[in-house]
Amino acid sequence: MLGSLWLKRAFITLGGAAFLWVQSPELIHVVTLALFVLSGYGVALLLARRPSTGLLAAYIIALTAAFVILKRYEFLNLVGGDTFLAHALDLIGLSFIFFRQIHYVVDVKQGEIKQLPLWGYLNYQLNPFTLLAGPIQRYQRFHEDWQTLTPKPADAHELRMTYLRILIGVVKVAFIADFCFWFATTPPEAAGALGQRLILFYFFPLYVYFNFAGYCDIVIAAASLFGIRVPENFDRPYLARNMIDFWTRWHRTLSFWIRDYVFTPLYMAIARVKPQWSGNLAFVCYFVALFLAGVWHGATWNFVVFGVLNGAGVAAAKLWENIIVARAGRKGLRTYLANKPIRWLAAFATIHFVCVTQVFLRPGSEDNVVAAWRALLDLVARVGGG
Amino acid sequence: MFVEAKEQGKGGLAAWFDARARSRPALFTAGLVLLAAAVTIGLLFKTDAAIILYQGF
Repeated sequence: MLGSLWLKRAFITLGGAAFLWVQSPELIHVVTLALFVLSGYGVALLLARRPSTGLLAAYIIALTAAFVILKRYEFLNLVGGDTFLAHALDLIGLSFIFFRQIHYVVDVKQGEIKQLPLWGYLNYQLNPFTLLAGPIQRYQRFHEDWQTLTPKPADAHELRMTYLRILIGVVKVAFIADFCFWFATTPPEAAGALGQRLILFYFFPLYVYFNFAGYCDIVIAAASLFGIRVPENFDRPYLARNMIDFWTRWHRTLSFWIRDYVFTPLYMAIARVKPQWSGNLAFVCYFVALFLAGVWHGATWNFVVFGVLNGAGVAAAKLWENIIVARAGRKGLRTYLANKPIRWLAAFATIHFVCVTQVFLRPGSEDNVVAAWRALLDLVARVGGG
Repeated sequence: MFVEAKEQGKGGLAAWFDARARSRPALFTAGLVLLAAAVTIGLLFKTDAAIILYQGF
């Protein structure tokens, strides 16, 4: 039994190493990635011996700075010109490693993670199921699975359902998402200019959904065959009734991470220092949390706009809820939420708002954002000068 | 079986499909094999492999 477990672990480790080797063109990439990942383990060992808020804060700041430089965020231009952007390091899966690493050190410091085996940690960070694009797994659950690696399908029926899920995932990624992207980017001429814009407006979000949800279907089902439970990442997001609801259905593991490691600590800190502000500043916390989630998606300016829109969307949803409670009370809110026509109208409005935000996820949208920004500055300069 | 699927958190269409698939394992397996074949052929046609195979024939 133990031998079998060792073999399974070795298989997953070798699979991850081979995947990394293929994806990392030069030794410098592997070394940088190893330093990035092992720094988290080293700090976790120190925090396990002596929990220190100062050390944790210093490490998270240093790690975030390293992440921002390695990802070559364009806003670095504002502080250091091309100095920070000159490197050519493209590390695979860095965005997700970054989130898992912060979760790991914070939870070790808080005593939520007690056992710190290096082999388990490296596989948690670098296993091929979640390395590339998540979902963002929590270490505690991975560690539990890593002890036995018992395949999750309990009988022949569940095994068949798992294979079916992998096939459905392939269909979503390779056929439906590809079709949506092709249709969105090369709409028929007969549709006319407005029709082509509408096709792009609706089909690009469909492409994003099917591409990512299909990928998640594949990795969740495949990982379960190896005894690893990867959390679900989607729950019919385009049926959401507002932007808060949307982010609990879309890329759920990212939303829950943001809630646990950005929103809650920020809100608690404000509530501790200025309890009288906490009610109003909840909106600010919602905005900051979702703004950061948006910015994390990419290094160019269009993702900043994506973050601002999402931050504004969730803050507005919370504000609207508060207005209803203030006017009609909790009972009134329940009646409002139970109203079917309002529910579908809200879903209709939400999906269109989401489509607007995803305009800024399109390839090439960074050029449009920069052009719009320059035009705005030009206009301001002209108004100021004239 | 339907209740079991519901207890596992599957609702509506998913529960209905799960119950049907569980009660007809042979049919489900056959469907799965057909789907796998269709996906493989579809993937081949999406890639150069299909063109190479076609030209080879």
